Amino acid sequence: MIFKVAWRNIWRSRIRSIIVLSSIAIGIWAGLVIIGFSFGMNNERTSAAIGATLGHSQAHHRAFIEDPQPNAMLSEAIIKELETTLDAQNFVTGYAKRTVLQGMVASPKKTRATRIIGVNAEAERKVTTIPNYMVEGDFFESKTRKGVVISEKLAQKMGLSMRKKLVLTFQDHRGIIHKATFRVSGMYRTLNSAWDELNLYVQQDDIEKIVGGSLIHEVLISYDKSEDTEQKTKAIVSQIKEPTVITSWKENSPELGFADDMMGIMLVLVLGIIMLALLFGIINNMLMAVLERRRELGMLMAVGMNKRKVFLMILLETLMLGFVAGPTGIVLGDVTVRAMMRIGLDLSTKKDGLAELGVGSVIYPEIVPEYYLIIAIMVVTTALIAALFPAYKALKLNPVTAIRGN
Amino acid sequence: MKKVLLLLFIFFYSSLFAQDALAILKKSEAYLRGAQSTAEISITTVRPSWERTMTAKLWNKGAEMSCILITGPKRDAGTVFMKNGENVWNFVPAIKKLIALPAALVQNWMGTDISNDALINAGSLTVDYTPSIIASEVVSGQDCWVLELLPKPDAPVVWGKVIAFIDKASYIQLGGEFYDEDNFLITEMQASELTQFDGRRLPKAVKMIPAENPESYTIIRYISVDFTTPIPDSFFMKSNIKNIK
Repeated sequence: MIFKVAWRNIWRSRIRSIIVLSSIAIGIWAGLVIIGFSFGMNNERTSAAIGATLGHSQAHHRAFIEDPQPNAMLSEAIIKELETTLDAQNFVTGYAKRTVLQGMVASPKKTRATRIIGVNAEAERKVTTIPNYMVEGDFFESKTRKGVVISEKLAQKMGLSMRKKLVLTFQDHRGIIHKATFRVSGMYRTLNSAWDELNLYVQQDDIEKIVGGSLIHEVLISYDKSEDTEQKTKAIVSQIKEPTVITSWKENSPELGFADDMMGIMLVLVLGIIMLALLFGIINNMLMAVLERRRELGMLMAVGMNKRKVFLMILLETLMLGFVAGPTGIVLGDVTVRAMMRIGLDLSTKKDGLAELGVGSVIYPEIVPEYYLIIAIMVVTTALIAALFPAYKALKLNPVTAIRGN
Repeated sequence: MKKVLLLLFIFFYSSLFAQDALAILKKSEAYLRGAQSTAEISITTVRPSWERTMTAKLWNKGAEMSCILITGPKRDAGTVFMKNGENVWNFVPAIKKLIALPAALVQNWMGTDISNDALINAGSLTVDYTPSIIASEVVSGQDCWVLELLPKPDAPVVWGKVIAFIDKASYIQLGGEFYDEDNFLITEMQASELTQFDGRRLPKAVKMIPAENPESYTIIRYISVDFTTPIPDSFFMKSNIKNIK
């Protein structure tokens, strides 16, 4: 009975109700799009970083993590052991052994500090996506001796181009300084320009020839899927002995891990702000509805409707608005995000800024179903809270003065 | 037959010439360095809007051992760079720590236009380049050989070509031009104010000018040079780095 009355009451003032309905729906729609967008951006950033530079996890000597000195390398015995462990795990799709040296790169124009990564091109291709980020030349496919792959950004800063000469200076594990000439055989550009500026790739063979021995500081490990990386890493860690240390991508890139962890909290905050705005909209609307119907409410009370029922009626009116608007907003948001997922959001005008963040210029939002329920609960709660004050106002009406009017 | 003879002649002649150029270069380097030396220098970095002067003490023995102690400004005073053979160390008194090379290598040396490269590999001209005499020229009143130095294949140098001006009378290098691989002039070196130091004539001022930005240059000035006081080998030991004053 009271449901029916409440429902009819809503549709008595159609325009106002539609405005409230649509403001709730738009609020939810906006929330969903923001969530989809943020998740899309974050996931892209994370997977790009994992693919290009981080790997799902990395193995180092404990000393290397404390201070990346050239003598903090993984011995052959340790690597053998590590390889057996990794080969036994079916989720490990590949691993790449690398030489990592802090050094200096010099061109006629400039000298800069750099991180020299000695790679085995074939193993690297199985683990990282750097070869996909080449803008010129290739990633050691054409077997050039003493080739170096630098980033486009570094090339610009140092006034270098393809086939140009540069001199690398670095210290080996015995503390001896080596200088060697390399020629630019490829240029890459990842989404992370900060990384680009610091890191360059050479072939491990060349380093070994210069140093006179093998030097492995880092093993980059990639998994079949990006899900459950923490558990997978733990599975490897449990089988590894000191001094080898395995760290997941979240540990290797704290800022990315932090962004990933903070994402949920940030989004709930954003949604909270949207809901707060909705709250006042609904309060305003319902208060109007109550004050407009003073005579009618007074009459209902006079003919014997008790206070509890009046209160309930107002509450129900608000909740119904929420229940209609909520699903509408969710459906709208879902459809929009799905459409955007297919097309992508082109932000090429903000390309450079996005590159600093490690994100591409076209963003593909993502659907995150877990948030639908959260949003639904938030909307209902907001509607309930918003209804309290108008309902209370209705309670306070004196039937006699209310019927008299004005 | 005549042709062969001519070819042989050209071959011998040119190799003789090259040998000559190498001898000149070697003599020039030996002269500048001496067997050993202790010097006080000042390095002034000039930029359009500011300039900064740094003073330092330099010890040198042979091609393998050298040491630099910064004596001013106060902020950097006490910093030591030491090279012995392949090893380079940097001692920073503020943190009382010995830093192995790479950290010390970051960027140009102490904010000057001198690259660390020059610091560590000073004297590699004869090792890394093949010299030849290309002309004679008068530079700041002195009759000079103009040597063209081309890097040997695989030599770890960034330059594509170096032109050196060496005084015929004293074997002092009075000028240098550093070109990249595309033959663009990148840096120019000018030595001037030939002065007598401890029985030897040396240029008192050496100016390094980047070709693209001639307003921003660095001048190195010799305040005093001592070629006679002997320096023991143990001076250039890692363990001695904290005692250098």
